[in-house]
Amino acid sequence: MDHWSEQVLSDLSRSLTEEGVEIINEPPGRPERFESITLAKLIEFCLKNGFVPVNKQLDLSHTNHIPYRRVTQGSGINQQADISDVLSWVSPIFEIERDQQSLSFFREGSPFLRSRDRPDLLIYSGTFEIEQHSDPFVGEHVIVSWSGSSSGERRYKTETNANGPIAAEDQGEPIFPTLGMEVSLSKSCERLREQVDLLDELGSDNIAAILEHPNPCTSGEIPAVTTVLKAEDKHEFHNNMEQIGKHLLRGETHE
Amino acid sequence: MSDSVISGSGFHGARGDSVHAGDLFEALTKACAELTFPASEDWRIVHQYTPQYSDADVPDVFDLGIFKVTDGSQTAERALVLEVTHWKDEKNVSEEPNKSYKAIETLEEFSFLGSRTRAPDSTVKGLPRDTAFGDVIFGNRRYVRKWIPTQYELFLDFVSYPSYEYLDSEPTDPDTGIKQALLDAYEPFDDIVEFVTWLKDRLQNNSNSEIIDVVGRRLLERFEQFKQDDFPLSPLGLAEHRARHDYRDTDEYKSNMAFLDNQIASGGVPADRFGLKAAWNKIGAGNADVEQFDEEWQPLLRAVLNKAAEEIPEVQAGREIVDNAGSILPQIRDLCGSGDIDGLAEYWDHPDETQRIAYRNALRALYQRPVDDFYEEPGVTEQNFSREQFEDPVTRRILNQIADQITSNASGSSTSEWVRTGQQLIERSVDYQAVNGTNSTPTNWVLSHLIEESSLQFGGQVGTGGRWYSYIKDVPYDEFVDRLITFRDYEDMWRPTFAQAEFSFEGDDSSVYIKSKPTKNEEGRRAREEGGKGWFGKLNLPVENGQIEPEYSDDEWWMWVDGDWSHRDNLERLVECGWRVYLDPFTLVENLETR
Repeated sequence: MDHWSEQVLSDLSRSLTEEGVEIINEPPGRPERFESITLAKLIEFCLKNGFVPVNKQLDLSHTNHIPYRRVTQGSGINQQADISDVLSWVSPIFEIERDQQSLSFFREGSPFLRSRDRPDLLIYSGTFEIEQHSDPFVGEHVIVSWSGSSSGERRYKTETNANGPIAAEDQGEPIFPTLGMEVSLSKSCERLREQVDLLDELGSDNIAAILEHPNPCTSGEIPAVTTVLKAEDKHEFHNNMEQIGKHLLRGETHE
Repeated sequence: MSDSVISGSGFHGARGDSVHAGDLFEALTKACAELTFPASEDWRIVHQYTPQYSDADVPDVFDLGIFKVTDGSQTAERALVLEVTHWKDEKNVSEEPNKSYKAIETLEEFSFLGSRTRAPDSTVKGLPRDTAFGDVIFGNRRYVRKWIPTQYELFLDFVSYPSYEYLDSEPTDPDTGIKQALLDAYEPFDDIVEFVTWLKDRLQNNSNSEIIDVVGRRLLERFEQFKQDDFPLSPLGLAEHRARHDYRDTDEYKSNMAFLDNQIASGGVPADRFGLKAAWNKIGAGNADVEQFDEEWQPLLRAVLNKAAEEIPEVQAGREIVDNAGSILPQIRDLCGSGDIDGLAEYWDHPDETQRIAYRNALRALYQRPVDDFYEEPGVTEQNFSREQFEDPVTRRILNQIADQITSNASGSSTSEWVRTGQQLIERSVDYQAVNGTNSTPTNWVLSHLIEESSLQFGGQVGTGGRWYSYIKDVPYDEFVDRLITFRDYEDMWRPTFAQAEFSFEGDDSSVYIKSKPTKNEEGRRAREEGGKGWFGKLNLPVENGQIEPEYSDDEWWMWVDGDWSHRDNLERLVECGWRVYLDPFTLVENLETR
């Protein structure tokens, strides 16, 4: 029998098509699908609440994962990346907007993360502009500029060290995620706490986890500000994701 | 299988460990630079600046570029190109000879760049002719050979030792603790850029007096002074860079460049040719036989094999560990996991030296992290790390760190997965020692064999060894004594240290210094290192009639390059540093016979 998440993905795909968004590259495996429906559901929820998509396609194979290169004996030499990869690592995978507000979605990283930390989902309230540029001082590079609660820019070289592309220049202030999410089929309390701590350190306004099982932590084991919800079937998934969506939109939803 | 959609098991156990002390010293320097040279005054601070040359493609990267550029301009009005260095952060140190390589590379990078920016026909995009070059050095300036601070202070335009209160040679002790303070302060951060912002706020705030604040404020003051003085340049640096530019116009350079061109035209770069070291590696790993290679090279490969067995027994011992990984690796994992340092020490301090080296190399491979930080421990150096028995507390600190990291690396793996992974790591490390270890010099063994077989008299006109000064020796230092900070006493500042050749040929009026240099994936570094050594031997800067008059030595520097040299620019760099580059050993020895 098909897993409930297949049905949810199929429903979400249909629903997003009605909103003008085509889902491409649906993942074959259950863990990836669970993360994909979480992402698609949040986008669908926002679109139902007055947002319009900036992009026409939601590519579920796309992540912002910047490869971490393990430092080994004899290394320490910078590696060259393709500029197309650098562009891909720092570009939001999806953007939506409503009035003066924009939401930018990142998976497995963001332009502000170049360590091995890769939160599953980060949503920033703001716009990101990504531009390819070249000058005598940085060479060929990618400029990431953002505006939202704060504004600034970073210039990433195509050379990468152990932490991914090298940030050659930066200006302004970083922007903090409005929602950081952990998505998992199976999570011990210890691992969940690590992820929540990470999202907390990133300054995320809202921290949520959606798990396919009950919260593994007892009261007090993780910060109280964290919303941990479970999704054992499609009804629970839809209901609980809508709760998270309301956090994201700070209650500014269309009832 | 991973228990998370994205994050692997144990993934966050080692969070943040990818940042090393060097990154944090660069962050502190960047914070000070951004405060002294603000964007509001049209300054741009570029981390990991790579000069854009129109006449060469060399992979030189400088830690920081400080440029004053009006919006949209393609050329800076002012520029300071900086390296950031940290030497041992302790009051009492002994000289670490291995730091010389990095210093030679740094000076050669500045020489390569300066000889182009400071020429009328500059080939460096964006930099003005009066671009300044400098080095910010944290830690104890007596940690390295004495010629290094001396040479830096004479030739670079900006040298700062922010760990010291005074700019002159007294007191001799630095303030220490900055490295640990930076590591501790970085702990809550995930991103170096945010750390720089934090450092800037802290320094601007000026209300703390911890070591980070003390050292940072000194660097701020020194940057500010350099800015106020309008980026003064070192006369010796200018003379050296002009001399390098002019050398590219000499007959010797042109002849050596034509010789290189002809060899490449007839047989390609070394990467396209037979590679002696690569062939030997295949034979050593049991993946090839001597007979599979071209007949011309077979006698040489046999000579190499005979020599290897005598010179590097620890490679054989390492292969035995790989063969017995099924029993050894689970035991090591258990010892690490239970924190049984005494048990680990039995491997680490094995009474048999060959076994000891092999086990330490194996633990180092399983550790999977750079071991440079261990050289900060008292008595530990890069040379003795694999063989010496250290004091007990030092050994325990090293082993505790190794045990923690190995435990983290192994977490989430089954025993069989761990054995397989560990076996591969150790095998790769053993292969590395066989091919790249300091005792493994098959190309020199080949040159030795060919010289013995030639008409040359080994031990007579041609001998092993041969040396020249590691630095530009003939310098009118007394005219520039005001530039000196660390050492002012002649005996101290020039205590002789030498670069070594493998062989030398004594002619009537001059000598030929001969080396071989194989490389694998690191030709840029090799070219800088060997280039710098050659150039410092080739150039002297005596004063005649009150003027610095560069002189190029009549001695010659010959090098056979073997292996993955694939970029012509790296070979050309050797030539502009005074080397005559040979792409095979036969021609080198034939040329020596007919010289």
